[in-house]
Amino acid sequence: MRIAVASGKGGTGKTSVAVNLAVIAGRTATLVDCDVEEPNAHIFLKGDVSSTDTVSMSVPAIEENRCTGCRACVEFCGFNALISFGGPPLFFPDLCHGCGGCRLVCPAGAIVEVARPLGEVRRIDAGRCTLVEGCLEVGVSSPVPVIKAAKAAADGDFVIYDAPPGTSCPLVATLRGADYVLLVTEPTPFGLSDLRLTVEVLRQMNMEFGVVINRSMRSESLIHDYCHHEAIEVLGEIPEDRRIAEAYAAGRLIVEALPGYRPLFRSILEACLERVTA
Amino acid sequence: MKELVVLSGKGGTGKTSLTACFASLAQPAVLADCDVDAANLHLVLVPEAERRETFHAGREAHVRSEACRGCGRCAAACRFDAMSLDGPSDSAMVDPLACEGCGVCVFVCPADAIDFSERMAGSVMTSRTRCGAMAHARLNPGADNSGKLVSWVRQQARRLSEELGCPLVLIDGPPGLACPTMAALTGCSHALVVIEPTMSGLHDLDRILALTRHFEVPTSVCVNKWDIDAEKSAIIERRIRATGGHFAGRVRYDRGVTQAQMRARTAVEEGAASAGDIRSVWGAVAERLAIDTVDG
Amino acid sequence: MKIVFTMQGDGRDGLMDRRFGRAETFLVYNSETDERGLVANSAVDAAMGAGLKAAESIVALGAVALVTGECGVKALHALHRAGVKVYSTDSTTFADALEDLRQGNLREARPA
Repeated sequence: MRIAVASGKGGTGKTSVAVNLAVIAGRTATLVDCDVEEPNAHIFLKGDVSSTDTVSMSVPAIEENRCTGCRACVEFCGFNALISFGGPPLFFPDLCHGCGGCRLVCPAGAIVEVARPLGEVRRIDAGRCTLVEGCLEVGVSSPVPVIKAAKAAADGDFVIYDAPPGTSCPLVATLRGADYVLLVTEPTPFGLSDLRLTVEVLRQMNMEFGVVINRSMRSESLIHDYCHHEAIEVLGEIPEDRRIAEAYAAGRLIVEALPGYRPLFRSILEACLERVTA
Repeated sequence: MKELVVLSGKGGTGKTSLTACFASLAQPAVLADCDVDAANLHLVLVPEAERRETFHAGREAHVRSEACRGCGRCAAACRFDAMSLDGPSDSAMVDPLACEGCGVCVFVCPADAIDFSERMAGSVMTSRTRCGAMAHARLNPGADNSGKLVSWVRQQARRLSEELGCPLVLIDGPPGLACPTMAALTGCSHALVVIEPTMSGLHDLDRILALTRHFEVPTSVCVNKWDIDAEKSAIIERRIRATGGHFAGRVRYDRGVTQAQMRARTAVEEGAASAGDIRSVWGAVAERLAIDTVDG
Repeated sequence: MKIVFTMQGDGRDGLMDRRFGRAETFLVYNSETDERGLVANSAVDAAMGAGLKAAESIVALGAVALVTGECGVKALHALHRAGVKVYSTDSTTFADALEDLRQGNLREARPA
């Protein structure tokens, strides 16, 4: 079973919800940190790295003695990763998506493919659960291959994906294959605006999802009103509580620093499980 | 004309709320919302759009089902798993959310059944707000913020700043470190990094500073919600000063920021508890930028 | 010798664009004849890699030097490989930038 924890906007407490749910779920759970640009789950789930794998992508290498300078590869590349001043092309790996098209179109067979490292996937035995963390190298423009590799490295029966912020490719790559999506939001106009955008993406993908309201204030019905109107289920509310912010700042789990919150996280987890099996 | 970009490693550090406050302090400034994935500046500044255009970015594959023979070569060649043959019809189907627009399928298709047209990614706008002119964008769901879009928004903002004789462009930057952030950062006069005093914040700080160094943009750092963890705030401040960086100040944890947001106002306009802190950060950054401010 | 300057808009008002890859127009200046021509930069619309696409155009135009505000790391590297010198200028007008170039006041940008 795979549950993704997502939020349109960063900083809504998505990672916090994901790590606390993973710990409540217990030793057999695997948390995959798919926020590979800024992986943060390891701060809460410390442990020994049991394995590290390099994620790489196939990128072209030009065999200059074979290249006729015909520019077919340069014309083909929609990402402008190849340019030519007449002779063999110059290749700029930062722009390459690894589609392999240049090799296909080269009439001289002058392009081979080599592996370019994009980042790492680390497996961490965090004791209370397993953490699989993807980490993108600084300066690499597409996080998607690292996200896919991190997801593929999680082999447990119960897997939680901590999704990256935003509503574009990295989010879509994370959500694909998940059985259920938990959307974490906060009761502010910013939170609602980003929630709406994420819901649009989820509906386009035909995903099942529910909402958790973080930093909830009883007086504020912004998110409830929206969810009611859109027939979206609210699975739980984490109250605005300065102690939670302080625990987070210190890199501590809510369910450990403030055990009174354990039943809340357990009920959110159980609600997710019910929705998946229903 | 100077360009100031406001960045934060991760989202949710208060970057946009602070940018909106700076907009009300820096008048006249032109605003550029380059955080297109989670564009929120408009919720506070309530722009009235004056110009709107459709935005295209890259291309995407479309299978003409009547021409497709269902041979599956496209699915075999596509490295992004965007092509499948398991749909209800016998023809290949494109998953537009997975298609990266490389054109490999178009090249391998023996039936010439795949069109490769420009992708409609959203709309881009220039608007008027109570704090100055603003360039911003709205993406279609699943569409990518890109270097092109960020550059477009910045270009419109520069144009507005020239037309209006406005000395400052204030950019709300995208989160993360990938292509859109690089496009927002490159060539800026100055960057302000907004960081929270958390373990995550400390971790992100090094990565974002590596990026601003790479692009050789002078950078200031401010700590938001500093009193959540005074010790970590001190660590951040010391670390910045020790490396010769510019520490622009601290802003306190203030629920007034959210309350202001509910009323579509900035914390400074509402005179929230943190307004003084924000003014002082702005003063420090404005000094670095060597610009005059109305209120600084 | 042809020298390319990056210009705003269609380039007719003589205002320089600080950007290279996303400048709308290239002004091609011939230092022997003092002739100048305007060429639209086709790289403006590139989603990514505009600087590299523009570098290709500069070389295709037969330029030996480029005068612009900011040239990205990748484009700088490409132009260096192609033997095109890149000069950074803070001037806002073509006339000032050209004068600075003549006087030898411009700094040549080189890849790190």
